[in-house]
Amino acid sequence: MNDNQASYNRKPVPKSQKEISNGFVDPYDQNLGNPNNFGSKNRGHEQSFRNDTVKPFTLGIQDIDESIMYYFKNVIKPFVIQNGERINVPIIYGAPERWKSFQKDGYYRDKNGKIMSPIILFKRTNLQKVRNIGNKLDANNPVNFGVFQKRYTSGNAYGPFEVLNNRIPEKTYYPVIVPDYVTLQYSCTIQTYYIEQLNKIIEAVNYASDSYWGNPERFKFSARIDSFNTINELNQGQDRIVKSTFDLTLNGYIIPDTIQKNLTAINKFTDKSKIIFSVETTSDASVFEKGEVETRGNRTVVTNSSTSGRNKEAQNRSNTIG
Amino acid sequence: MCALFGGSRDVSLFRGLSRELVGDIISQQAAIYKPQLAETKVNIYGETPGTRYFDEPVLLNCLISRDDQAYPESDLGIDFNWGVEFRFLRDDLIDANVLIEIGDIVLYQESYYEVNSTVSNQYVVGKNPDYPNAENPLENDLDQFGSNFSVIVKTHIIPADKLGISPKKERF
Repeated sequence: MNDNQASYNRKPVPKSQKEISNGFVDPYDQNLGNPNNFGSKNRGHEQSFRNDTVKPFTLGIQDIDESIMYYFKNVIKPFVIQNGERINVPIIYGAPERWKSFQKDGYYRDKNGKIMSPIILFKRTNLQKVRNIGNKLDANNPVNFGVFQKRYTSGNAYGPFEVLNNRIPEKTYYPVIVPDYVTLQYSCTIQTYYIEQLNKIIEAVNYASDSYWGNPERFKFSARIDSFNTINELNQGQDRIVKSTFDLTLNGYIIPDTIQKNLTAINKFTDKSKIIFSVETTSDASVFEKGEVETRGNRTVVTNSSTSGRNKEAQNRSNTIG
Repeated sequence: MCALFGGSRDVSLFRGLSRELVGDIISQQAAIYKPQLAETKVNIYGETPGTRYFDEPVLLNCLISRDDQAYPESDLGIDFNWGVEFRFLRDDLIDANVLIEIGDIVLYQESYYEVNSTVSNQYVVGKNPDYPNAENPLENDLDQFGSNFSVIVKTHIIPADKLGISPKKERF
């Protein structure tokens, strides 16, 4: 009884044209079913990226790591004065491959292969998801996305001709899923020969704390450093160790380049193009007359009857005047 | 009762043989750099980030015992470490007026080694002439016997540019 009452009160949902059309289809092969039922995928959203120079927007962990490297090298630019010379501090990512470390990275080694100081090392130690900023609701069906507009399309140029003809250029949009917001932890080590050199580098890095690290032409992320630990040790049979370690906390986001995202999310769409038909009138009915086909030399020319009508009218006028 | 061996003639023989062996036959050499304490400025941390001054190096014959090269691995990558032991005749050091101490620098094969420790306990017939053996009531001429024969210096390699003795050459 309740079910009937519920179905009675339910608001009817009209069928779409597609549903109505498919209802009339009697499939030839009952096992395969109606070939028009291909699911809910909207092929209008599948636009080709051929000749499109815009790379589908992705931002990976490596991009974030590179932003730290960029900021150390190009913004902080740590240096020390050693033996009367200004030496830029090399920055490396921690624990490189052996061949790269020992053979390729010769610029911070002496001829015996011993690592010279100063040197800065950083490496990512942790990546933690932040759940209180954004949510794409369902990774397999990301319905929540932001939109980038392509600023210029060479195939759809907007010049004086388009202005004169009142043409509005078609805009291309690139929807991008809501990113995964993450907090990344980096462990950094500064190693120098002397504490006096170390102090200078710590001062420079500490000054850059709580700012946005990264390449301004690419991505920038809020970075934070809370404390610096200083280690100054003498070990038997080894050189004196002067180094400082600190943790760098960076607020980042990730837009992965996964096939799951590419399959489910809309990658590109354009705004709706419009063709506007307007009404014009004429008092000369001859413009609607059928044209005549003439052959002049090797060319076939369609002579519009309206043109011939106008010529006749002009001849009549000239005769009258004459 | 008196000592029979290890007298000055014996010590002289040992010294002569050793000098010939180390200097003319084995012929290994190392240079000693001693820091100029008065000239070199030190900061509050007990270090010299500025210019470090050294006396002129002294080239000496020695026996050299090398550890295996070590390549410790850390986050920085593959590092390099090499411990080398230098054995000097103490009489050579006395003649050159050099007292090797911890922190001195030894130049060997165009690399620099910092002195970790100095060992000076090779006594001929177990007697150190610096000790007041003459005050022994049973043997009052013991100070004529024995010899403190060698100075063994243990070192570790240090990064070449740290000293700044010849930085361009050391780096490349």
